[in-house]
Formats: sequence, C-alpha cells, structure tokens
Amino acid sequence: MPVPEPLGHEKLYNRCDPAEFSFESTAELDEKVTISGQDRAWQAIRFSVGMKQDGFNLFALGPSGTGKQTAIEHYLREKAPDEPVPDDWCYVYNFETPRQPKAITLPAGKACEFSRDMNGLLEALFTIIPAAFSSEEYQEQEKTIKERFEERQGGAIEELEKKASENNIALIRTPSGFAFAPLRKGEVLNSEAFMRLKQGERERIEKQIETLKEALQSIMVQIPKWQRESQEKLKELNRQVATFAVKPLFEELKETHREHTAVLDYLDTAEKDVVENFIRFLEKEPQPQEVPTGMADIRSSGKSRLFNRYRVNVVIDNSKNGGAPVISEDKPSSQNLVGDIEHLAQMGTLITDFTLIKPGALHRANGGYLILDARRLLQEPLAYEALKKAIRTRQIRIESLAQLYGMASTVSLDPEPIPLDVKIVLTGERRLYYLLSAYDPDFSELFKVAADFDDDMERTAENRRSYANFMATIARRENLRHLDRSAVARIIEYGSQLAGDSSKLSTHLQSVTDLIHESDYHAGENGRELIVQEDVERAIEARRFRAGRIPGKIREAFLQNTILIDTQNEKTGQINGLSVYILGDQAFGKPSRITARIKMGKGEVIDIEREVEMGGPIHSKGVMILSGYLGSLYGREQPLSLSATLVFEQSYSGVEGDSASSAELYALLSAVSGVPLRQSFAVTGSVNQYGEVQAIGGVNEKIEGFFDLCRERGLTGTQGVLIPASNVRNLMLREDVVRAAAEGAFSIYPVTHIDEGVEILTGRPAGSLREDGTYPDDTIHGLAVARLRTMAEKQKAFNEPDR
Amino acid sequence: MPFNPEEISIRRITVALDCSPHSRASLEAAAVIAGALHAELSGIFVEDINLIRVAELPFSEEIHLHTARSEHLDPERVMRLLRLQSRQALALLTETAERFGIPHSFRTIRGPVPAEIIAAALEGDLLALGRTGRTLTCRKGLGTTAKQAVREAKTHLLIAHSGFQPARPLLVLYDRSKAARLALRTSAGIAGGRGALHVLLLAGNEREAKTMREEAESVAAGAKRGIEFHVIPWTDSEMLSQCIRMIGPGLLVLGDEMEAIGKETVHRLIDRLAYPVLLVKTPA
Repeated sequence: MPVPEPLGHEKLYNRCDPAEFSFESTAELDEKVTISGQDRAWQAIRFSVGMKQDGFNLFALGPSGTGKQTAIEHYLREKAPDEPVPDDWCYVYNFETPRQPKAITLPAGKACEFSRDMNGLLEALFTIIPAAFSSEEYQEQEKTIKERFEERQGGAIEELEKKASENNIALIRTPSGFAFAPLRKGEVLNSEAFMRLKQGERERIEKQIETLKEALQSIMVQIPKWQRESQEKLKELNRQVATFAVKPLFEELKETHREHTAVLDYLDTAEKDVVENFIRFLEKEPQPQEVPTGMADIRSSGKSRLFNRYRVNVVIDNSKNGGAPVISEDKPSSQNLVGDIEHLAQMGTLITDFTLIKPGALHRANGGYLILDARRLLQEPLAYEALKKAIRTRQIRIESLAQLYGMASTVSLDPEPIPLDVKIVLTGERRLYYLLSAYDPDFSELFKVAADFDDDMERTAENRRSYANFMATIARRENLRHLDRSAVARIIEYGSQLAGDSSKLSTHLQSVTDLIHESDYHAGENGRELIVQEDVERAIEARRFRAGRIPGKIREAFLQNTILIDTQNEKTGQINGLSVYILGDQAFGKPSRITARIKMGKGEVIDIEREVEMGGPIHSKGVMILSGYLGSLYGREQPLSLSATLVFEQSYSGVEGDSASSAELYALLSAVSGVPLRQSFAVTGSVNQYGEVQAIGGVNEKIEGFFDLCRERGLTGTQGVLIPASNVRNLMLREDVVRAAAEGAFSIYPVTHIDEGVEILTGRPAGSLREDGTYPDDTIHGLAVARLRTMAEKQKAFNEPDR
Repeated sequence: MPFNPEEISIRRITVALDCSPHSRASLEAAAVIAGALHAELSGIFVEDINLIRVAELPFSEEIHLHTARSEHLDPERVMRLLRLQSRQALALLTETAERFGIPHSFRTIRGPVPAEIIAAALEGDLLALGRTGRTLTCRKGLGTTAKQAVREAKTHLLIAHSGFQPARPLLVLYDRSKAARLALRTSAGIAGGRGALHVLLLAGNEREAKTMREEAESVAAGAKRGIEFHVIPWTDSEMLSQCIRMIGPGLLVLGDEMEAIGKETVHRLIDRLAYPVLLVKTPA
C-alpha cells in the first residue's frame, strides 16, 4: 500500500483572496442583510407566514447566536407593512356586571378618538348637569314637590291641632312625638285641676283625647307614604332634568360613532347610568394631588373611580402602525403575554377597575406577528401554558396569577376575552425543540412548522459576499470602523475556522460580530480609519491568549516532563494520541500518551479506562472494534493467544470518543510486532473493523495542540500528525502551522488505512496478505503473526505439559 | 351723617336656646352681631310648663312620630330631659361666647315658652330665636314662639335659620321711613368691615330712587365697605321675596314699621323667606 505524502501547505488552510472583492472597504456596501445559505429555514418561514390556518406557528431552531431572531424580525418587518392594519381594542365599564369589563373593537385609530370623546363628555357633564340642577326652573319644581309634602304633612297635623283646639285640647310637642292635653284659658290643665273636674267631664276629655290620638296615629301612618310619593316625584323630576341635560351630548357622540354598534350600545347604557347617578356630578370634584405611584389618592379616589366608569381604556392603539404589528417580547412572562390587571393600594387594601387593565404582547401583536425566545418563555412560570391556551382558544383572556393561585383574595376583574389572530414565532436551540416535541403533546399541534437554521453554510462566492454585507451592516449599526477587504477576507477565513470546515462558513454571526468589535478596538489602538487584516489577526491572537491559561499550563507540564510526552524517540507499544478539550467557548488540543502491553492470553484487549469506569461508551466501542480488527487480521489461521492492555497514560479524568482508536491500534500493532513507533508523530482518527481510518472532530485544534508542544521543544522536521484523509477538508490551521508545513518543519499526513499509518510510524511496510495466507516476514503484520504464533505455541505447550 | 355706634341701642342680646338646629343658628348669628356691636349675650332656656303638666296628667300618652305607637309619658323622664337640654344649652352658649370673646350669662325659666321668652326679652335690646323650635315634622313657616314674638315682642328681633352664613351679604330694605333708617344704620354697624351691604331701595321711580340712594348713603356712612344698591318698584310680598332670593343674603334686615310696605307684608316676608331676619323695632 503506497504511503501518503505529507499535505501541501495549500491544503492546510483555505485562503480567501481579498482581490475577489470589488470593493475597497465595507463602507461601499449597501445595508441590506441577505443571509443566504439557509434555504431550508427560509422556505419554512415563508410557508408558516403564508399559512393562515390554526397551528401553523413557527419554531425557528438552531444554535444561539446565529441571528435567527434578527433575521426573522427583519423579514417580517419588511413584509408587515403590506398587510392590513389590525383594529384597535379598548375596555369599557360593564354597567350590568361591573366585574366583567367589556371589550370593544374599533377601526385603527378610532379607539383613541372614542376615548377622547368620552373624556370630553365627562368634562361637559360636570358643567351641564350642575347647570341644569341649579336652574331656577328646577329649583322651583323641586321646591314645589318638597313644599307639597310639607304642606300635606303639616296641614294634616295643623288641621288636627285646630280640631283639638276647638275642644279645648292642645297638641303638645314632646321629645319623641306628640301628646294631647286639656286646655283652660290657653294653658294646659295641671293634674290637680284636672282631678278637680267632674267625673263626667274628665271622661269626656279622655274620650276626646283618645279619638284625637287615633286620628293623629292614622295621619302618622300616612306620612311615610306621602314621603315616598314625594320622593318618587322628585326622582322623576331629577330623571327628566338629567335626561334632558345629557341627551344632546350623548346624541352627538352617537352620531360620531354611528357605524360602531358596540359603541352605540355602550353609549346607551352609559347615558342611563349618568342619569341615575346625576347627583355625583353635582359634587365638586377635588383637585388631583400627586401621590406615590401605585397608591390611590385617598381624597379623590372614591369619586374619581366612580367617574372612571365613563372612561375608555384603550389597550391597543394601531393608529401609528403602517401594517401588521411585529412584536418581540424580551420578557415573556405570563403577565407580559396575556396582560395584567393592576391594583392600587388604598388604605392598606388593593383596589382595581377596568382602567387598570394592561395589555400584553399578544394584544399588541394581535393581527400580526409575535416573536419570542423559547428558553425565556419556558423559564417564566406558567407563561408557556398561557401562550398555548391563548393560541388554542384563539382568544386572550387576562387572568391574574395571584388570583389563580389564591395569593390575593380580593375581588378582581374578569375582562371579556379578546379574539386572537396572531402568528407566533418561537426561536430556540434544537434541543428545546426536540424536547418540546417529545414531551409536550400540544406542541406539535400548535407549532407545526420548524425552521431549522443550519450551523454553517457553503463558502460560495455569494455567501462570501453576504458575509461582507453583514460586516458592513454591523459596522454601520454599531457605529464601528468599516473593514477593508483584507479584513473582510480574514473574517471570512475565521468563519470557516468557526465552522471547522474549509469549505463552509459559520452561521454563528454573534461570534463574527464579536470579532468585528474586537478588531475595531485594535484598529483604534493602531490609530487606523479602517479595520485591516492585521487588526483582525491581533484580535484573534488576543482572544486566544486570553483563553490560553489552561493550554499554557498543560504545555508547561509537558516541557517539565510532569506529563510524559515523547516527541523525539522511538518506542514499542507507545504512541501520542490527540484529544480535544472544550472549556467555555474555547477548544484546544492536547497530546496524550497511549501505551499497549501484551502478554499471553485468550485474545482479549483490555481497556483499562473501561475497567476503572473512566472510559465512555463510545471509547469502549472503539476499543472493541480493535479486537475485531485484530481477530480478523491475525486470528483466522490460529488462535490469538495474547492478552493486550491499553491505557491513556496520566489521564485523571474520563475519556470519551473514538478518535484515539487508530492510535490505540498502532500501539497494539507495535506491541504485538515488537517494532517501535516514531514518537515524533501524533495520531488521530477512528478506525473500523477493516482498518479504515475514519473522520473525527476538532482536527485543527488537535494538530495545533501537538504543533505547539513540538515548537516549544524545537521543530526537527521529523514531527507531524497523522489525520484521517476524510478530515483534510476540515483543515483551517493557524498561520504558524501552515508556515512550518510549507517549510517542511512539520508534516500532516492524510491516512485512509491503518496500514498506511503503520508504515509512516515505523518506517516499515505493514505487509500485504499473500495468496498463501501469509505476510512477508519483515513487515509489521509478518512480524506480528510470527510473534503470535510463538505465543500460541508457548501457550499450547504450557497447557499440555505432559505431551 | 357720621356713623355713631351709640345710636345703635343693642347692648344685650337675649338668646332663646332649645338646642334645635335653628336655635343653634340663632346663637351663632347673635354672637356675630354681639361681636360687631360689643353687646353681651344672655341665654335663656324655658322649661315648657305645658309639657310638664301633660306628663303629670294621669292619662298622658306620647304618640311617637316615626312609629305612631303611643306610650305613657313619664313626668320624671320629661324632667330629666329638660334638665339635660338646659345643660346642653348652657354648654353651647359658653362655647360660642368664648369663641367670639363675648360676655355672657345664662338662666333657666319655667313657664309657657312664648310668653316667658317675650318677657325675658324685655331685659335686653334684641331677642334672638330660631324660626322653629324642636319639631319632628316639617314646618314650612315660623313656629308658634317665633310667630308670637314677631307679633308681640317689644325689642328688636333676630329670627335665625339653620345654615346661617355670616360671610354672605347683609340686605336691608330701605324706604326713607324712620324704621328703615334705623334698620339701615343698624345694618351698617353690623356689617362693619366684614361683609358687603346690599340696600334694596323701594322706590316707585328713578327720581325717587336717586333721592333715596343719596339719603341711604348718608345714613349708612359708617359702613366701612362699599354699599350695593338695588332698586325695585314693587312692594308686594311675592315680588319682594323673589328679589331677596336673587340676592341670597346672609342676613335680611327689616324695619318693623316701614312706610312703603305694611306690617303685614313684613311679617309675611319673615314667615315666607328661609333667611335669617333681623327685625328692627321702632322705639315708641
């Protein structure tokens, strides 16, 4: 099998040529952001927005920082102006059931007009009603009614008094009523004089008084009735006067809003209520005083609250909207979504009325689009449930959480629900989407469209141009320096580095934005007008340095031989594997020594990591594959009479992944064949049962991690890394690695099969199976077979000592 | 004519107290006038002899107004109540007089209420009493005592109505008669520097009104504030009542024996108008 050549430096880094750009700097680019390369997601978005049926809401899934929300918002804001402006909504007092304020819909801009009209009406009522009731005509009529009652009552008593007087009997006023007494010469008879009267006279007087008493009692029984009649008359008069006074005002208002039936109905009931409560308008309204927010003015509260019933609480005013609303709610709590009923503190109690109904994001977005972050939504107690309920029932019902959970026992309001017609867009990570799909049966009913934003996109000319446009937008929007084309090219290369693929660009635009910010800082430090490539390089280097404490410490441990890594000699059964560590947003590679030892046994490969439960399942699987490979390679003609142990030396934490399986196999082959491996190489790549080397992740970090150690120890020209050939497209290596490779100081070998790697690592061919089923003697496999045969014979002799 | 307070012969005001709302108003009005004229207050409370006698009668029964129920009238309870009212009247007088800084005295008399009050009034220069006494029913006009006092009292009379407002203007009717001049001079003295003085000139024509006004200005020269004149040609109680209502005075001052309007009209005005009235009696 031919041994692959080291990769040329041009394969190690996919450069972006600044000359391909027609502009000198991003200042020349227009502002339009066209993030291409997300065709699948865009098609889903367009489909969801176009579908008017229930449940076709959108979940935009993808890694955070990819600009999903910004892009969707931008798209919807471009589309929304062409859509009809939704109606206004307002809440008014329900005169029949005050606990259930009525919701009224009006064409856009009309709700505020209606509210202004009602305020004007209220103001006018304070003038009109007192004027009507202080008019001479009313006073006269009122007086007449009152006098009629007084005359009736007083007249009846006076008549009785007169009748009594004719019989020499006086009507005396007592503390609680009346009493009758005999008179003589204008004075009441005292008891002695009375007793001196003849028996017959006394009896006559007593009888007369008894008759008068009964007459008085019958008058008194009539008095409440007369009083009621008088009050009824007064009430009727008041009703007539109030109706006459307020009718023209209401008629005028009805004429203005004649096309809106709900308003007309409301005005009818309001008019009746004003007439019934006319007396309130006769009291002087106290001047409002400044009170702390959330507290009601004690002096005027009762009165003001009474008049609040004639006000209009405009919860949604679309007069300034030029189309469908696009709302993005940063804090999607239950109250912020479906609205809330606020309370005012008054004398230690909480009071509320319909004017304290506050709209939520659903109200504001009604007739348009509402964009929410799924993670934030799920973090808010009951918010997700409230949202689902609103979508399912197609109406917004304001429910106070405090009421629902019995935390507030005051009587609150139950406002009439408002019909809901909104397209909800949730944005979130893929995991959230999959979790919701799996565990929430409602989710797939309510969010039928998924817009799956990719982590990366093809590095085509069009997308490179889009990247440049994006940079221009960021520079303008965030008031940063523009980037010259060399800086643009470098950031595009950075995009590929982020994607971990030389033919792709990362869609994690937040990282790109951060890099532009940092580059701008360095451009400022250098006193430049534009950001140039050097500034971008410095920003990347500075970022690496800031995050380099732990890799630095590890490297220091290598150099001090605290962690043993050989980069120079040849050793049997020992190899440098490579692993990647991810800490925060920084990833770095680190070489690890892997050793293999063999002894006589039954053909098993013992993974020490697994034995001590430090190896993950994928790693264990990789090691088992090695057993399969070894068995198929050497165990076809004879039993494998060995037992091999594999270990990651100086590993103090778990090992996971199968990217070290090829390295482990090389170490095993070396141990079995007894041929030493060159320690100047490090190896990465997984292997299958046929010995084919397969792709792994983090190839760039792994190469750079080993390169850094070699550079520190001094590059000899013999050092290098063996990587799977299928990972060559992922190479976007650092400039210093590329330079070293170009100078021949460091080599990167693309390996497709274990046999290729063995030859590079040992300098001896792996050996091909001959027709007779044997390998040439001086090859790795030949030596291995010979060694295994010897071991098998020894074992056989050991097991059958008597023969 | 320069203003001379000595000409206003009110040095002692007798206030009939029964703790009814009108009576309280009469005390308040009397205190205002006493303050203005440096007079003293003499409060009297009359224990109604008729009520005591009724209570002592063997068959006496009280018919309750709001229930029409009848109950034996206990003389002891009546006496206790009268004593309580007397104490309340004294307390009210003391509080009011001290508030205005006016010398005051108080006594309780037993007898027929109107007669005792009219008799007690002779000891002072002005009798102040409420339009009606304690009454549980609606009474449109004057009460028995007030009516009798209007007819028979020899002193000036102040008949107050609940809701007395000293800040409102004083209104005096003027017709050039001796009684009207005295009423005007008294009004000017009471008004002092406090409130506005309105004079209703009862003149048949413009010329007469002019003369009348000049005369009135001269009579009321002591008034420290401007005088507002109104002229009306009518003298019947109906029209006069309407005009007076339009001005809405805090105190209406009338002469007892005016030339333009007769005694009966004056009495009718007092009976009909629900304003405090000061009836100035012309000395014989």
